[in-house]
Amino acid sequence: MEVQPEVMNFLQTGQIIQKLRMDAELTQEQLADQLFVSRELVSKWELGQRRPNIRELREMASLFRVGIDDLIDTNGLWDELASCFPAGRQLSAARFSALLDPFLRTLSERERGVFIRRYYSLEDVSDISTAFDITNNHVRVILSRTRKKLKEYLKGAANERQ
Amino acid sequence: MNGNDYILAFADIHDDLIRAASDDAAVCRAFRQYRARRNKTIGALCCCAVIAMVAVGFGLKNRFGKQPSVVSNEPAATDRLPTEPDGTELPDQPGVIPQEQTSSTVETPSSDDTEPFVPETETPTQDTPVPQDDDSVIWGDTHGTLPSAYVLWNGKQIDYYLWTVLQSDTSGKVIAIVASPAIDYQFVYDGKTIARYEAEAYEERLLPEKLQRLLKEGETLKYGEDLYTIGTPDGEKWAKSLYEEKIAYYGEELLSRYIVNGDFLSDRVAADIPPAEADTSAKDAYDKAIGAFYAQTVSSAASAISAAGLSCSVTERGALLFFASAERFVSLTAPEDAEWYYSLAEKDADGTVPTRECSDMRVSG
Repeated sequence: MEVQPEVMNFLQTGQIIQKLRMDAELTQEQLADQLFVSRELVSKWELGQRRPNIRELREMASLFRVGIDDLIDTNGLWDELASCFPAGRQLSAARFSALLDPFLRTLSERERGVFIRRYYSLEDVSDISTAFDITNNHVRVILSRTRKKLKEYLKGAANERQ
Repeated sequence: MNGNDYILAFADIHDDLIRAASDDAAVCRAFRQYRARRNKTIGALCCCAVIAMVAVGFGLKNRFGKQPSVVSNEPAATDRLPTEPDGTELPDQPGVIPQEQTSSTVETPSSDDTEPFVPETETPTQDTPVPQDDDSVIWGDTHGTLPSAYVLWNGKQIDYYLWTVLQSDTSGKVIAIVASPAIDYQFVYDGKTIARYEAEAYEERLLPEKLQRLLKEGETLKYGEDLYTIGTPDGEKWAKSLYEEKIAYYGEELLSRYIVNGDFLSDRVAADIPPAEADTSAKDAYDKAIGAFYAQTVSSAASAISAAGLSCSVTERGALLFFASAERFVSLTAPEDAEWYYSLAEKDADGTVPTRECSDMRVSG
């Protein structure tokens, strides 16, 4: 059976978490306590059954003193977003961070749900479509439209600063 | 911007947005509503297109076909008891049923055969006692909680399972039928409408969740309108629409209880959560009001149907269980005081139908 790249990455993340945890001589319970999550969740991460969300990855990276990129390969994901940035205009990371919340509040509940599941919870398209009982294609269409909206929003914000 | 920047930006998304996105049920509901709106729009557009095409076709026919248009003096068809010109009822064709199943085998009686639940003066000529022989009764299979679509059939709202039985040969048998009245939300019990009871029960159910959320958002909400005008001292600023959404969600009365003179009383909120979780008084009152509605509505129908010679009883849920042949059922007319829904009765897992005597359904007060 062919393993999907995303699934493979999913498993790899679990293995990396397990290795870092064992190197740090922590039990699953101790790691769970430090991250304020349940032991079951840590177990699911390591088994590749669940993927830690962005915030959990950030905490873990800080705890193990590694880069977030060392825990998960999200380059493909951020490439999707890179096209949203206005060409030729610099938008700082801090500015993007400050704009993200108000942008999300302009979206409909559906769009916001799908967008957050994709870029915060790092879920793949099929997981999102299952969670919301819609087709994969519908998820892709929503993501594409939402990225277009983000592009317009960031363009407006960049103009505002000039 | 590198991957790390994206990650840090997304990690800072506000908690309420994350929570909302993680609420699968709410997002699914939003998708369903969106689909319903879209289908309605498409349906309306299709209808317009069909009407336009028919109108064009009709115009062409009148212009070239030399066929005079006919204006009928007959009253417009209604959804109750449609009849042929001679008074014979027409079987309704339910739209949700597959075409091959729509041939009706139940003979439709003339309007003279129609008998009301409440016989005005006549005594029924043939009584239908409670059937003792199970082979002579058609019961429904256990469908569990599977909802069934209701279709309009001979002026009655019947469920799919009952409709299926009525399309088959039922000669020599009686059908176990459950009749339930649609809830009248304007029904007044103890000075309040059922709609009011329902709204209060809903608020009661929401209260613990609201308090839990307020525990987290109270420290921000205490800044009131400053939140969207000048922002909080630590720089947080909301869109006005978000602020208004939050105020509408919590309600000004609830907020004024816990935000006093610009201070958020989190201890009071925390103390009020356990009693709010335990409180079921509004739900109990709603159940009582619904019980009273059923008691009154079903009771009058039960007395009437018994008097009409059909054996009946009241189920534990307060609906009316009666046994009637297909022909007899067709001829029944529901009382006007409620909208009635009929379904095929099912037995419990142990093969019984929990019922009580109709005479126990008298309404007090």
